[in-house]
Amino acid sequence: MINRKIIFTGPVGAGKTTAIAAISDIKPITTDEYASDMTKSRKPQTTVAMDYGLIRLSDKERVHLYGTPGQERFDFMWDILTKGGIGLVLLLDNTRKDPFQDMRFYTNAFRDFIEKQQMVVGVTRMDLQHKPGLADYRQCLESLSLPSPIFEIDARSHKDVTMLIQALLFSLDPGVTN
Amino acid sequence: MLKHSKTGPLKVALLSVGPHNRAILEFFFAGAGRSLFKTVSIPEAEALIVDYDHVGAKDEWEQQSNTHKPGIVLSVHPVELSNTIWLPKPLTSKALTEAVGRVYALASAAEAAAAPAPVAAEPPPKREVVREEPVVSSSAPQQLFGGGSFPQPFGVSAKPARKLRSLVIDLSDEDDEDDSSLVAKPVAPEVAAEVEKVFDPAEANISMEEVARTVEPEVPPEVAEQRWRELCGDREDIDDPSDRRMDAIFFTPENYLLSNVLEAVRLARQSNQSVQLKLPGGGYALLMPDMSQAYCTLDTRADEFAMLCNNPVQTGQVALHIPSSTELLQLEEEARDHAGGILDLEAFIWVVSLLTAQGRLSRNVDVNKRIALKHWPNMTRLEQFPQVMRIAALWSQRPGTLFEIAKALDIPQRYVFSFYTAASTLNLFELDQTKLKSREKEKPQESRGLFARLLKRLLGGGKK
Repeated sequence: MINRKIIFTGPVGAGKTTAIAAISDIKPITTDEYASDMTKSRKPQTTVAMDYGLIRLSDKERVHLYGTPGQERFDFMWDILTKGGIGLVLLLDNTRKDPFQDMRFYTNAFRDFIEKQQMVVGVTRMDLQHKPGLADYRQCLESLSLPSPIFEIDARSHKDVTMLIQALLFSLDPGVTN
Repeated sequence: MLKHSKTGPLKVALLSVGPHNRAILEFFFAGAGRSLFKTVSIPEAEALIVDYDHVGAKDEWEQQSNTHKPGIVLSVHPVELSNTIWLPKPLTSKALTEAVGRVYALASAAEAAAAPAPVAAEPPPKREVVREEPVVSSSAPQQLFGGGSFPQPFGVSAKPARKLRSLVIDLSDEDDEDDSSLVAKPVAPEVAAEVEKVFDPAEANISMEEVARTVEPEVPPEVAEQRWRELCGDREDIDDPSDRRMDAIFFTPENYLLSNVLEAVRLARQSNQSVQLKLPGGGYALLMPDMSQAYCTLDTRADEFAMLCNNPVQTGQVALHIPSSTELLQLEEEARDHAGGILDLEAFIWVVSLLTAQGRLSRNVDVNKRIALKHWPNMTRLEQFPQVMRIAALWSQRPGTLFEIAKALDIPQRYVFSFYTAASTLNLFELDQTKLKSREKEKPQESRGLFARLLKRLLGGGKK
């Protein structure tokens, strides 16, 4: 069995779960659903929950889609999560107070992985909040010396998320043909 | 939140620390560990933190050793140095929390060793670390995330025993706590054992509900090809730049609607006001810079609009107008009523550029100049044509002339010319020749097949 994976990251509410759902062959699984039996009897707690989706290419080939836990405090596990990953999809929410701070935080946290592989950035909720615009995000990426693709997306849209993944794959190898 | 009961936070200075671990530390210091640690300059510090895996860290630590300040050494491998404690990477909040007590113990021991035989001396002040237990499991997270005890990277290993742990963490300590609640909470052994249960969705034998995805109706191939001809023309490649057909690949932007559109965009952005572009035949385009949108009364996919773009316009046929506030209200209302005519502003410029050029280049372009893409176009909102994503990807990684890019990708030149014309109209190319550099990475060839199959699946051609 050949297993590869794509990591989706970004702040809480940026659309990681939705984006995984948009392209997954299965209904996304959230790991905390499986921990709920353990936790419900105690005081309120949050589980380190990863979203999981899957694209089956054949009986012997699968691409796993992992969404990182939303709580930034768990960034110490991201190094492990990214091992063997094809690339990173960073989702940013344009309605957040400082999405550039989010961009800096996540690109810094995943810097090694991004430099080794590739990153694509999807900005969600630009229909609700027009500013900052993509030009501002491009400037921010430039200041971080990251020439990554950055697109406005609707995380619910199969087409938009597919386009992000296309950009990721072509960035990894422009010689790929479909 | 974690907290000292008696004294303030431990003052630490960060020496060489890699960006990732620096981010972890800063995050921890600003949040859960803010009453445990405080970052200060080296002279003020009670202890020094160094990432021993980071370049130059060893030298820096040696330089600081004469300060005799205790050190917290971060490393993936055990490090034994005098007057230091070792914290294994990846870092955990538990390890960081415990580090405070260990540093004070270290300092106390060093003090005791250096002091003369105690004669009824008072014991050194001991800082007691009392924390609200952030981790329900006493063995987590160090055991969960630290070193070899963590399961193999998710979704990669084929080891049958690999499991992804479900880690339960109490988040009620974040920022909303009354300090009086900050007391140690013993963890019941049975709770800890319970949390040790593991779960790996990638390999667990659980029911995975298949998604029945609605397949969007595909545009018939002949319709798509016709549109691509409108956007990119149908010129054949020219192998020799001295070919007499070269002249035919150039056009003069000033003769076309494109120049009026660009002037309107410039005016709109400069004045930060909506600008109306009155088109021949009574139609108009409203450019709204504050929302980065354009509304056009003509369908940009219609023949009429294509003809408007790719035929030269005469002086006076097109006019720019800054609407009054009353006019603007009416125009915006009309746009809202015909929302299908609203485009992203860049998408409007993109399609006008393509329809104007039809696979040609501006007369000002030097075809022998090597150039590189500085920023990717916003592909999700732009009209697509064949190979557009590959062109963007290659030009983003490698400077090259128009001909070199077409040759490297083995694609018709007209697609590269089209991309160049539209993307340069959006100012997405690097203009500074001194900043051109290759960013190409080694491409594992074995992945190419998988990437191709994944693309095919996502685009609707592959089977499950």
